[in-house]
Amino acid sequence: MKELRNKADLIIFLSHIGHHADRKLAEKIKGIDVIIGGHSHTKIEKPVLINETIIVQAWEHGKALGVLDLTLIDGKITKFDGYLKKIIPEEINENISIKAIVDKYNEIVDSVLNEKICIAQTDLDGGNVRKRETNLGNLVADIIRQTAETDVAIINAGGLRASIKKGDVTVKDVYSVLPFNNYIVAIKLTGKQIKEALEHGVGAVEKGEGRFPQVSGIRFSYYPKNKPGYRINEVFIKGKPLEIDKEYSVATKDFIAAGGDGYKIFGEAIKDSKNFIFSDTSKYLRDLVVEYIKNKKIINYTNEGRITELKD
Amino acid sequence: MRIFVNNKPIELLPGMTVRHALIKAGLLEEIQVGKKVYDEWGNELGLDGELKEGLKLFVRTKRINKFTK
Repeated sequence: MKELRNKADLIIFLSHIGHHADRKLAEKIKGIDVIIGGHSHTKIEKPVLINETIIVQAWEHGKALGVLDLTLIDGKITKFDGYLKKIIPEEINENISIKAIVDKYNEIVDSVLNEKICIAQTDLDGGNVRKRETNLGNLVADIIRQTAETDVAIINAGGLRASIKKGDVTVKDVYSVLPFNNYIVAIKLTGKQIKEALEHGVGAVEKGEGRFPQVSGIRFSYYPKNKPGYRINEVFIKGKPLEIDKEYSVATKDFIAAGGDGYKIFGEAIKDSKNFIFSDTSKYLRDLVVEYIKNKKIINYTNEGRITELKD
Repeated sequence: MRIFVNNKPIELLPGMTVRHALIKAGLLEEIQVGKKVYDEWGNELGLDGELKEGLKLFVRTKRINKFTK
């Protein structure tokens, strides 16, 4: 810090370690004038002063402009004030120079989203994912399982938001199916826990809830008219009957791993760090799907009897 | 990673965010009806904010102004 101080009027630290860590930094390292933080998406409406270090952070996703006014006398900060100015679109007349910038970027975005990445030889069904196995559910679950290199994959149908028509498939089509910023997580579950997860998944099929499971590496049958919790009949993992006490590697999405859509069994399993296998927060699922089908060039997916609804 | 939501311990995986903490705590719906998330110093947090071991989050309707200097 002494070396920097000799060369600079002010020492401004651009951090990306979260507000919690910024405070610790200011407590431990003397001589930083300002820390402009990020990572924790903290909305600091008034600058924080720790020792002699001013800490600011401007929330997230460009929702606010952080303003910090410093008064310096003889190179020393004698006064400071700051605030967050919310960024809110205003109804104004079109500005030709701004429009040109927006058009330029729209063109770039459109060229990415409209890129034809493969040909689907069948319609990929996103309309029935909350009721039964569909080829689209199979495709996405397979990509998740293959990416995570696990025994099985279980995802919630609620994350699949559209169908894809037979023919040319664009990036935009995949983004419409998977609009959420989900990434893949893999953990260990016992056979008992997998069965419980599937029970939960089919527990409200009659209501069309998003928890209905789409699966890979699993084949199971269930009685939709049984009482919830007593619906699953047989479960096979990679063609073999599920073993209740055996540990399996299971891939899913971060949303489910956190216990989303009521999948508490996943949320419980991650309590023990020994159950954690894999997660990659840097790659969204939709981009993995784009990558996968782009490499395949032609997609021909069908239902394979992974999920069988029993009548009696 | 263990954090706390409204003083209750929540276990999450590394890299998970405020949103995951709320899903796990069953409080995400509270945000959709207008509640906000705050850190232990009373600063509002965005849902995509990264978490750190031991962090304390509070979900409530109104911000309690705290002296932050």
